[in-house]
Amino acid sequence: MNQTIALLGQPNSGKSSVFNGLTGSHQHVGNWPGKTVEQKTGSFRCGNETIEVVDLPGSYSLSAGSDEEVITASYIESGKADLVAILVDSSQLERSLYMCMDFIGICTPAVLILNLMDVAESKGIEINVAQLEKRLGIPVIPFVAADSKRYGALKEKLQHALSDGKVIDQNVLMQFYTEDADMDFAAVVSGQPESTQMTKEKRAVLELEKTDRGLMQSGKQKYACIDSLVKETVKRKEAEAELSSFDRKALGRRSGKWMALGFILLAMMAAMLVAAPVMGLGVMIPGILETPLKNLMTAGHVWDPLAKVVYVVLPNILFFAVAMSGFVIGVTFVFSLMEDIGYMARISVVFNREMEQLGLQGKSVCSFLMSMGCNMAGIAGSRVIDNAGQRFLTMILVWSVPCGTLLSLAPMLSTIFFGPAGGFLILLFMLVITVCSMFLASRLFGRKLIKEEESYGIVMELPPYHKPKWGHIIRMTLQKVWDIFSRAFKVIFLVSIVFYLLSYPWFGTESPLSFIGQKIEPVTSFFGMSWEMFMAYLSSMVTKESMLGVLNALYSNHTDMVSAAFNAKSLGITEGLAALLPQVISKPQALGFIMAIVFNVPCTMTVATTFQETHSKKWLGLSALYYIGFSLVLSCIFYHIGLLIW
Amino acid sequence: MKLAETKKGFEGQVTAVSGNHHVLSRLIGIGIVEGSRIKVIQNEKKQPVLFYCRDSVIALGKKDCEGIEVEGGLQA
Repeated sequence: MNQTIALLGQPNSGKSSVFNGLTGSHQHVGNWPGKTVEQKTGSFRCGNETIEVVDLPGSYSLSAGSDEEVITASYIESGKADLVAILVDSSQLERSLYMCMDFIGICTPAVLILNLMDVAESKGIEINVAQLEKRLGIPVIPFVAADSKRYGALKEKLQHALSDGKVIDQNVLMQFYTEDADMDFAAVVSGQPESTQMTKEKRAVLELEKTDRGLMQSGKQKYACIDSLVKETVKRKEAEAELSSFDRKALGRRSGKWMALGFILLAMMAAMLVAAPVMGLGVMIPGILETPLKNLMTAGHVWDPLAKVVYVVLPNILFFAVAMSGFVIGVTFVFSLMEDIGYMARISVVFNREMEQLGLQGKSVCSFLMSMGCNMAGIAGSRVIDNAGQRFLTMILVWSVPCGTLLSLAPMLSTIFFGPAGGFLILLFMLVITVCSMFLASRLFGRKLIKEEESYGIVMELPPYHKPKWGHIIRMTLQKVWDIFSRAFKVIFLVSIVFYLLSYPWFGTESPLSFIGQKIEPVTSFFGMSWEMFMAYLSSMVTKESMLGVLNALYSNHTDMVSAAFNAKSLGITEGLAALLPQVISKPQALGFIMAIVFNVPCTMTVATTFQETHSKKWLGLSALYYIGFSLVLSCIFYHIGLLIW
Repeated sequence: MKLAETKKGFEGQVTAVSGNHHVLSRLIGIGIVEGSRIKVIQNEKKQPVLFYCRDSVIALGKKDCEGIEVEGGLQA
């Protein structure tokens, strides 16, 4: 059986960098059982031993009630780890040692990793490592997570620590409890049962912390212990407690918001820059592949339904996947960068109030803005949100945001039916409804996703700015985007095949979809949709662009809905279609239809990405149901309002 | 006075912290206990209060700052 090391640390302690540095590509990402919190495990080899590493969710302590903290605490107490590596920010020992204090009394061997030693040194902080080791009774390892050359030595030290099995000397902390005359600590200790996981003293501390008063007293003891350790082992210059002039602007009530919007806009442009060549490459795929593949299929006399999968469906979904990946890479990269240098925390502060109304944290604003480019990017970008519930809710609300494609499709369609002024008016309506939908979804899902204990206001540390760790950021971005795309591509391929099978004219000119569509037309017409429009509505769940092709094919009696739906080149509205649509679709129908399309479930790739990020079928299903319901209700309302007007 | 009512430049220490168990736990985890020394660096309308505490800049929502009693004064 391999030995296991668990990484424990507060946010900003550099835990994920250390995890990545240790495990490299040997990682597995899943969810903690029954939770939406991400579980990262991995392994590394040292000598001829394989050592497993578990990255525990970042939290400020082991006792508060969030999912992250409950998971971390119960994992630590379970004794599953053979060694716990506690990470602290050496430049902020006074605060970051708290996690270490919370750990004292647990009988699992531990090491203390003093991360960000370079930052501490630049701030003139000197740490007497030997003295700290002596006091705590465990190995203390000065470290710089960004420096890849240090990992070899770290692995060896961790391996030694595993075989030495040293546990923190609990007296370092417990003496403060016993010396406090206000609390009768000895009496509480004697009432505790013996166990192998933690000492009687630790149990007594946990017992004390059950009351508010005891919790505060205990907190004071832990900080008193930290203060004495720091006094003994750290030499430092008095720090200047002032904000830099940049931070004064970045955190200002108005200037901070403008600055954040400016940076997000810049980020979007940077993402586009990264995206453009990749998109160009994507656009060429169908053109390059389609004809040779078609010839190949014809030459091989391949059965027509199968041949079409190969030369129509495959090149076009490849196009979608590649084209969108550019933007997602760009956004993920820029977001990771802003998080890494510490700016994201400032955005969280300035947009705190606005996002709080949705039950979210300020960082969510970035995801929403990016979603106007591409929903997938918004989903991928939600990674920077550190609370699982809030992150999940952000993703569900991202689905409300009309993406770049919809923002161009919807006004185009509107203009055909209602002229330029009408098109503009509908665009305004869309934005208002987007905000309403976000509030509605937040009310519906928020209470279930975010536990009441977690719905407190912002409590966070603003990390000092750091130099970006480029290697780390690039590695994380590529790995993330690859994860998303392998999943998204698989899903969209499957969904496309299903859609294809349903829309293939198996019975002469009729496909299963058109057959069912015509049968249920009495129902869909209540929502203002003819069966052709309903088909387009359904196809917009695959990709938004396919909706136009489907409308065109069905209304101009082309039986080949397959080529139409998957032909990415038909992006944009041809003159023929612009002339045709007003003849076959009435104004009220068009109004309802546009709303239905805009607020429908996002494209399959976005849904797949959301699943990749949350691993929750239940919430994904519920949220899909919500958006289908919401868009149909909107369609119905707007259609009937339209009937009154025209 | 309450932390929510302090102005930029206020320096002093925390005398009492109130709130439910989870809020307390969260505050203690980030470094705020009775006796902690703090220095307010920004307190604007409708924005979280920013203050130095234990080597770090902490941002704390206005509502939770209502529950934190502090004593001290403005530093020149």
